[in-house]
Amino acid sequence: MKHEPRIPDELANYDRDNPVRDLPVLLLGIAGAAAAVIVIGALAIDLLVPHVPASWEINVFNRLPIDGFATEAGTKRQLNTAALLMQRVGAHWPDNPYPVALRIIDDEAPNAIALPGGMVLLTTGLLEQVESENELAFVLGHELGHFRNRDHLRGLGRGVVTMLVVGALTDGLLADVGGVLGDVALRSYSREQEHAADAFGLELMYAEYGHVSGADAFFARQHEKSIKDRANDAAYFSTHPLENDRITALSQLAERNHWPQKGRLVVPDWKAELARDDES
Amino acid sequence: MDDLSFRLITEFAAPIALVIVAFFTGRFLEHRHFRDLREREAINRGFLTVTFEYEPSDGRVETIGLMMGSVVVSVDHFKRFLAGLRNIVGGRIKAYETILDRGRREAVLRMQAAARDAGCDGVINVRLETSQLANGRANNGTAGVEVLAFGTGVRLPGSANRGTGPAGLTRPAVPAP
Amino acid sequence: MLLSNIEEVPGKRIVEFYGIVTGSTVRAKNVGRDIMAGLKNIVGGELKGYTELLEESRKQAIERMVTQAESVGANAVVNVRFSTSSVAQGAAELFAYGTAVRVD
Repeated sequence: MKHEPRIPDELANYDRDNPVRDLPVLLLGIAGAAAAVIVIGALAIDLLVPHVPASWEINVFNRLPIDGFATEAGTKRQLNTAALLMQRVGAHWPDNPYPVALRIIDDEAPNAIALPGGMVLLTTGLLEQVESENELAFVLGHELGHFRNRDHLRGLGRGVVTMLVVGALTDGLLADVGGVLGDVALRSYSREQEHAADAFGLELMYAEYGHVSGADAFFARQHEKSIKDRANDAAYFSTHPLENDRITALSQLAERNHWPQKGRLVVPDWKAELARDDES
Repeated sequence: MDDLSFRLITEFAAPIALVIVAFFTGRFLEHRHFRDLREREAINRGFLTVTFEYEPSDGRVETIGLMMGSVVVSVDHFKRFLAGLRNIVGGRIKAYETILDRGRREAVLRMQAAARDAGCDGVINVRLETSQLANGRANNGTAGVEVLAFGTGVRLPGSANRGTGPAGLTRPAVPAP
Repeated sequence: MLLSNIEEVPGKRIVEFYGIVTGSTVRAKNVGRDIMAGLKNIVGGELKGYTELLEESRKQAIERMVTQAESVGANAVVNVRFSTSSVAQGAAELFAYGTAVRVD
């Protein structure tokens, strides 16, 4: 056997293509596909949601051990007053299939959440901030609006779709990009939902009080706060872009329907109590 | 779109900059390494390196011992990102092929150098092993891949090679018998 | 001690064999090396710290195998094999094994 050393072709094992060439195709392809799946998923859920009977939903979700995260917070008086208010406001929506229950959760951020199965969560932060019962009535009416439009189910479904898509993107950076894309793809859509819920809330509010004064108080305060925070809050744009739009939309709607925008505001009873305590 | 671009900048600027820097640096280093590999392979061309269990031309050799060469290599951040994308759609991960090629060739060259230093004329029964190192504290991608080349170093009958020189690479290639 | 990864020692005759001998060591990389490697991981290429670490560890595994071989009176280990396995996050076992023999 003769040894005749030769050097083999190294390009058999790899090629000299610039790897950057793969990047745009992969990146746009995957990000586009992810966004498309999220949007198609959202549309499919929208078609599906009206066909889900409320009784099913109530049955399924009220069996979930929801107590774990919705622990009782706030005072008994706050809970009673809010629950009573919810009944009064809800009475103007006679077709309501949900046995709307109310819980207060301990969270500084003022917020209200409509959960599948007919549960409304209010944060302690919201209850501490509200200046009038009217304002709270609007918030509750808004959440009832979400129930009427079945937004809570849409939100849940969309959350699941986004989670699945983002979960399928194994790379961390890519998952972030996918999440932002999904967010953007659905943003104008969820904006519409909020406006619809606002409109319903306003309608209920008018039915209850005969005027809609105090409806925009919550947004106005949020807006003011975000302007104040804007200098040092880098997340301003991502969290509070829409309050002004919503205030304008509310007042336009009230004008169109000739609902008075001025009227007597009712001080919430737990605030009145605090005020009395301060005086004594 | 304001808040989107804002989020993109704050959240993704640093990782994307890193990917870009990694691409250019990694590409430069890779070109340099391939050039270096080619030069050294040309020098080592005549050094007997086979996967046979015996010395093919004669058979009567003296065993010097086990010769090894190893290297731990890792891909650059850009290629890791690209491979992450490729992982989703499947297909050939070109980005990883070069790094494995570099690792194997480097390991063989180091084994050859070790064999030269030990006074061998060749290495027979050469084996290559590749193992992935578990990731330590960092959690993105792997810590690296180790390539080990090893074989039995032998001296041919009548060889003048006594293997006392420093680095095997700087010495002239030993012509094939 | 002669080592080979062939079933024999070329040029010599095996007269006795004593059985399998092994050498192993588990090593963790340290923070310093980790940081350097972390930086190198960005641009790719060789992670020198890890190469050296594994080289030292493998050397130690071989030494331990040779100690075993000496303890049974061998003067060579044939058919040496290696294996590397990650036993935990950031730790690797380097393992060497072969058959201890006596050659003329």
